[in-house]
Amino acid sequence: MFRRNFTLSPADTFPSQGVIKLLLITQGATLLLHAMRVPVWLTILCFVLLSWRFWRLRSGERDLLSNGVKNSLAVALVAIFGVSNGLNFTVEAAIAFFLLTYSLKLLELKSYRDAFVFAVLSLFLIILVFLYGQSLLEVSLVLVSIVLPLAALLALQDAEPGSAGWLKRFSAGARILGWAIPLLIFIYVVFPRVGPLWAMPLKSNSAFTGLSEKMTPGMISDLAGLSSRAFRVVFNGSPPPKSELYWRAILLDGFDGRTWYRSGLQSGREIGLYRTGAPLPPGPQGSWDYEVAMEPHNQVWGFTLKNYVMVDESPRLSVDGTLLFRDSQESLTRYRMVQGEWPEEDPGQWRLTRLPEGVNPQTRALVQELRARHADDESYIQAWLSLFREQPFFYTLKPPLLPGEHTIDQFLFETRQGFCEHYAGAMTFALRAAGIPARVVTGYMGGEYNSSGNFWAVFQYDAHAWVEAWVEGRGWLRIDPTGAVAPQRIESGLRAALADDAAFLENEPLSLARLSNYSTVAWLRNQLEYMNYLWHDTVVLYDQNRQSNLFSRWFGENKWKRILGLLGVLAVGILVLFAGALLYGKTWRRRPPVALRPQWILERKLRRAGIPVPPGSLTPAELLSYATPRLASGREGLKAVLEEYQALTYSRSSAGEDVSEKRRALERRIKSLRLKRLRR
Amino acid sequence: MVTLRKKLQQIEENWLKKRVPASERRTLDNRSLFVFPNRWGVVFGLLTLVVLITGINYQNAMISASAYLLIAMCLLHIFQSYKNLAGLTLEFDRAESAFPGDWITVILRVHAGDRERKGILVGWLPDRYARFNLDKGQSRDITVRLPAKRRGALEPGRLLVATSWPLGLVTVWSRPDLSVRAWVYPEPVHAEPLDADTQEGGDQDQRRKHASEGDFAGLREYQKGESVRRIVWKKFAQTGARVVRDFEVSSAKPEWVDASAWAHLETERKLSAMCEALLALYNQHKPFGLRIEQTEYGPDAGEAQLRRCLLSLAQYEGR
Repeated sequence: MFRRNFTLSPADTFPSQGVIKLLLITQGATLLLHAMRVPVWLTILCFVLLSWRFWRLRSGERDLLSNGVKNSLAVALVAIFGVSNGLNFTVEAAIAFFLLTYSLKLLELKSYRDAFVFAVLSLFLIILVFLYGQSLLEVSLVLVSIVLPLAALLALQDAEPGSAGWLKRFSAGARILGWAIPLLIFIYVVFPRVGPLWAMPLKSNSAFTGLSEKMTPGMISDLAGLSSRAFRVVFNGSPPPKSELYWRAILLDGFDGRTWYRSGLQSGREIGLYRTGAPLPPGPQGSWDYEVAMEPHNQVWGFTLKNYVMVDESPRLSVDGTLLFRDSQESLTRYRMVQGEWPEEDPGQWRLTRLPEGVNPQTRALVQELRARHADDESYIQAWLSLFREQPFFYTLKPPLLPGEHTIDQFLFETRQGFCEHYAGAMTFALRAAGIPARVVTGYMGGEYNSSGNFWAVFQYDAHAWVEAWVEGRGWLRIDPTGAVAPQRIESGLRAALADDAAFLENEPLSLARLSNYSTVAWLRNQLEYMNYLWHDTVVLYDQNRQSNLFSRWFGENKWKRILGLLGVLAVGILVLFAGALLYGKTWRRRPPVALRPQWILERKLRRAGIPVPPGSLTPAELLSYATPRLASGREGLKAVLEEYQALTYSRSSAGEDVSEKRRALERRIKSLRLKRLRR
Repeated sequence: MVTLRKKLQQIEENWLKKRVPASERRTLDNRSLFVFPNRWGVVFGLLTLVVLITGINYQNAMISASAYLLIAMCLLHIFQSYKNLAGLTLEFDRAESAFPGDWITVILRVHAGDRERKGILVGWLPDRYARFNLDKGQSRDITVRLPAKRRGALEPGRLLVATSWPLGLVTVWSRPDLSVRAWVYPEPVHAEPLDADTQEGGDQDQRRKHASEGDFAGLREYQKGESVRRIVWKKFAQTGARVVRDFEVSSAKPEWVDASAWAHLETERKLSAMCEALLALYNQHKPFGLRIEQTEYGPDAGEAQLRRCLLSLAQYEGR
């Protein structure tokens, strides 16, 4: 019977207006959800297709485009997309292509099958929003918009599609979703977590923001325009003071006259130079001082404070104090760190005093002058810091451009306005020129404490660059020239330091972070941040470890044995029930057809009286001749009811006669019979 | 292949006969209901798998969760579809007879029982079915039209009752045998009777004349149950009112349509000729009777008599 595969609505039925309108609304919502990540022209084009379809629907036209027009339009649009996109195989490009073909489907949407496919495609495109992020914002967007394709599918199944209004349709969709959510939670908790099955070739281009492995003037100040979160930290115990929260990410040790770069790090994967030393050993098991929940940034590095080592196998801490993962991190990642001294490695072999020849002559002259006065490394450093502090240097997000060849000369002697990367770059140059090994460190500085959740949130605008210098006898010193120019940046964070700078978050005019000077907004932002933290911490980061821990808590240490045992007991129980149903179910189910019920009742009565009537095979006459010699009393009654029964069942009843009433009367008579077994 | 399929069909048929025996009224329950994902369900399942793998490979918890959501919806779908059909009662009410080439109207009565029903299909594959919704407690007559082909009994076999509500991924269906049976009248085809003299009157020409003219007595409103053939369609097109030509029932001597008059024809042609003769007499508004073998119907005039006679022709099983 399974081979009969029928569709409940013939594939060629034109879907009702209501269904198509629902589908158009669904498509609009889907396009809006992706609008930020796909080219603007594509979104506009898809909306044009949508409007065309809507206009077609309004004018009551059933005929769409002819096949030739339709196909050439589709080919043309796909070709335009191919040309404009090029060989750019990213997640966004894939989604854009998907959206385009999906919207082209509208051109030929005229049957049950088309409508069904369109609704299901919408469903999947809505789910793909999670590729951009997994916070409460995306979750609520998806939960709300997923109701639309569900409502469309429901309307498609409705035999009277015009019978319900919008509200009814949407609430029906929401109900389907609501029923599924408890089951979803159960599956989410128990479904086994596995690692990636194979490497995904698609990379995202714009979905990830954050530090890169190079530093040119302007790169970090670009990040100051973003209020997205970089990572969250929970301290186990009291945290260090805020001005000590220097989250190290990467060391930049090469300089080409304009850009600071990581000499050993190529293509973001190969660690090369920095893998030469063995990684630092992990700290003692079970103890930790802080836990970082890192947003996906598509890079291999993590963030750590100085003199903390990792608790688990991954990520690994390299000898120079950078935290490295095996792969680029494309999803939310969590790791724990514990206090532990870092060995002070010898900088000599890294040749950290190399500089390109012939650039920045003015700076070199100043270096020679200062070095002549301060032979001692530390006082030389102090001399530079007081130079920054005392001379008219300004801390700003929008420093003038430095187009020339001698960028550091230009900055130090002409513009004198810069962001942290200008100061860090100039300082490192000055140190190296004086023969002191030095490097630029980029990462984040500070963060915002969330008192509701007792965690720190670090945002993109907290990105920072500072300097590390090797001083004989003291090891690596952290030097932050920005602190000399704008001490507020270090003590209270960027927002306080640049309270009046219009450039702060200038592209996000409505960002809560920008408006946080108003206390209600600050409170609201704090609460939202906290809710997202809870969401990420309990739900999104529910991984293999957490699942295992949860099962341990439920089932104890030998959890797998117990879970297996429990499953076994369940299986056996179900089998027993099933077998029981098979064995006894027969007597339950062998209810006779109504017409035969009088005899069935009579046989049961005889058996109860002690006469073993064989089940279900005797005719009334046979039953009579079987039972009569075994009865002590009630023979006449038995004969009478059996005759009546025979008359009722085996003779043709004339039309209009109520047989069932007669049968019931007979059943009552049989029940009132007094039968007694003959004793021998 | 064909024989194997036939055999499988036979096995299924026998199995169904035991499991869901014939009765004119059936309430659907777990014994008579079957559940299986349809082809859209299979497509949906494959796409869900794609989502699941995407979630795993990108280590994206929310995409994985979406896959679980889809799985959860499919599982619930099975129960929702099942409950949408379970407890529904179907009855074969009646089937209206028709001439070959016309449509036979089968009227089934459905009772919703204690819940609302959505998107239920009732009828026969491939395309003779009706779709409907039912409110809680509602009873309703469902009309399914079947093409009338050959004279005699039309037995469309087991009914199909199915639903894919809510999302169209899983189909729950039942094949109750409501002993649906309809009668198809013979095709009216004129044939000369064997010997006009043996018939009363023998006025073949006269009869023809009457058939075309009749004793026209005016127009009156159409009443339900009357043959639609008597509706004055011209009038209907002009005014939208269904009126029929009213004829005075002639008090003439009843005429008999006797099977023996066409004894030289083989059965079907004989019945066709008798049918034509009955219709002609009916159109003359004369009392008439039908004599077929030893049975006599009538004599009487009017629609009811015509129907009785035509039905006996439809049910005729002799040679």
